[in-house]
Amino acid sequence: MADLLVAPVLWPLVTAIVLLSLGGRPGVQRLVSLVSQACLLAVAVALAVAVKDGTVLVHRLGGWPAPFGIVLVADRLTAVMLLLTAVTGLAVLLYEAAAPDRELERLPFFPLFHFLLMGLDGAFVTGDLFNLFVFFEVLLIASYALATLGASARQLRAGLQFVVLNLLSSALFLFGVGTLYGLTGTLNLADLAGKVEALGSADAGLLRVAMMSLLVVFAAKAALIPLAFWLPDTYPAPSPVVSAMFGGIATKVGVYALLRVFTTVFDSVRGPGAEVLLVLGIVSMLVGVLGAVAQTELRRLLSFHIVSQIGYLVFGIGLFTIAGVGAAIFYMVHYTIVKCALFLLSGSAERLGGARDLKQLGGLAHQSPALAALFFVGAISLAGLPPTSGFMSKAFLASAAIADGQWVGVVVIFAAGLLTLFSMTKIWTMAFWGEPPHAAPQHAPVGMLWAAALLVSFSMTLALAADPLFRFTQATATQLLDRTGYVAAVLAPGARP
Amino acid sequence: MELLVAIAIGSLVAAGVFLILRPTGFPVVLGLALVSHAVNLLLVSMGRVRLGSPPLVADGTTATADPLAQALVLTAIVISFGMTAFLLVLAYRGYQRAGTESVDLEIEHG
Repeated sequence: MADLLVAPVLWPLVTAIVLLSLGGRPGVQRLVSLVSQACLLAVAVALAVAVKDGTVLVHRLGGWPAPFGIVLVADRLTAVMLLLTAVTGLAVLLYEAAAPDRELERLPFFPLFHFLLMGLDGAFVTGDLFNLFVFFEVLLIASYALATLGASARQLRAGLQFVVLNLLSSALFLFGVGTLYGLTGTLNLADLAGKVEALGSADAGLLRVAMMSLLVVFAAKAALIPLAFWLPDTYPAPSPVVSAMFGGIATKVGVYALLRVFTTVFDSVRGPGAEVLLVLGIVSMLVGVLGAVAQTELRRLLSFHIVSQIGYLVFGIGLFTIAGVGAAIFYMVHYTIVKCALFLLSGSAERLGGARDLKQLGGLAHQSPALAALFFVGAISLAGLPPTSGFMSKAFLASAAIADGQWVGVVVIFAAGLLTLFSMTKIWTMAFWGEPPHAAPQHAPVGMLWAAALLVSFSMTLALAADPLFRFTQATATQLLDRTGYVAAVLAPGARP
Repeated sequence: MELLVAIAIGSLVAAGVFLILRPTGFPVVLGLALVSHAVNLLLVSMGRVRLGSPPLVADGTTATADPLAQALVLTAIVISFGMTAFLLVLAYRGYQRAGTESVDLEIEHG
């Protein structure tokens, strides 16, 4: 079973190479992409079933035992992330297949998309800090190219900023990794866990430098205020399918890395880091949503919401209690699905209304009631109104914050939720109500709503099945916060084949 | 020796940060290149600074360098090379499109 762990990395790579050779034949590319992504979803489900009971799957590449060889590891959190990646990837590809963007398909969109998936999945399964860096670079170079695909002036300007910021944070990542390696002589996450704990007080200062550099890096990748201002420029610039993939899953890698490294490596010394995370989380929740309220461009508004929602996740993680981390993981599942759906729906809205800006849209509810209904459900779920999955996530997060005595956080959770609702109402009244400003409404393929409908119904299922999912995310948090199982599984002497 | 390496890393980072804060594209690219050189030096020196010790173990060798640090640096160099190349293309295309080398972001929304 553990050998299946190479599939999430190798499979997208093979697919991308095959797709490169199919350039200029978009129909075949679409089909190959969809089939490959469906297989990847099946692999993710199989892995999730295998780790559901708390097993930690470890694949030792080449049979070399850790910490000398490279390991791929899957625990519950990895399984959740792989599943989310597979589901959002499949939805985005379905959308693209139902309503092909000809402009995009003339360019190597499909191969780049699968390279992005490879980087994402690789970052989720790796058990080694340096490989985490490498997979970050794989996913970043793919996302640089995806973000600037089409090379409009706007994409190029935003892309330059995106690339420079990420290169700088990659350099800082290597500073952190180098410092940790100099201190401990290892980069295997499980091995680091023990070595970091055994460090004397003489090295405490350097260790904190390494920890804080990694915190800054992951905060920049996850787009936390004050390192988030690249995001609202970069994400709305490319095609809606690319926005949906970025907004759905790409920023979550930073959150995942934060969670993984701070629970495994820095378990014993993360105190000051946790405080910083709480503050950054609270500030991001508020600043992100305030930024969103001021926007009139549909996808730019949604991009500001990403910053706010990442704040919720990081706040939950910063609590470092089972309830807090569990609520954050629950929130991540809900929010990845809903965000991806909203981006896809705003892509449909833009195509239907023929404009990106809310001021030039209107009367969409009249033109396409199905689109309006789906957007409505997604929007109230993002704002956190009952009975949606968004309400459940916010409730769990708030109760975790109350249990920890974080009253400022509790107030901000609800205040930011209210402002989210306000900005969603703004989209609703400006884009969906009123009269369409164009005399002849454009026609959009009905099929493109199916992908978003799939995600929205998935989100509604989450609300209905909140209890089992809640127990599963709590179990995930328990496994993360007690790293002994992870460490023992990785460092177990594996026989060379 | 350690002091020399430390000063070199520090000056490279200082110069790199100064260049990154420039408002035009090309100095920013150079600045990033300098910072990534500094990182590479740091990674090598994290395998401890030793003179005349190859990362190979033969009969009779007493001092060997840490091979892992050198392998990491090799990977980091390759990645930063690729990224710099991409960044240069991006900056050049941006310059062609916008007719200015400024990296200030003034996107006309809507």
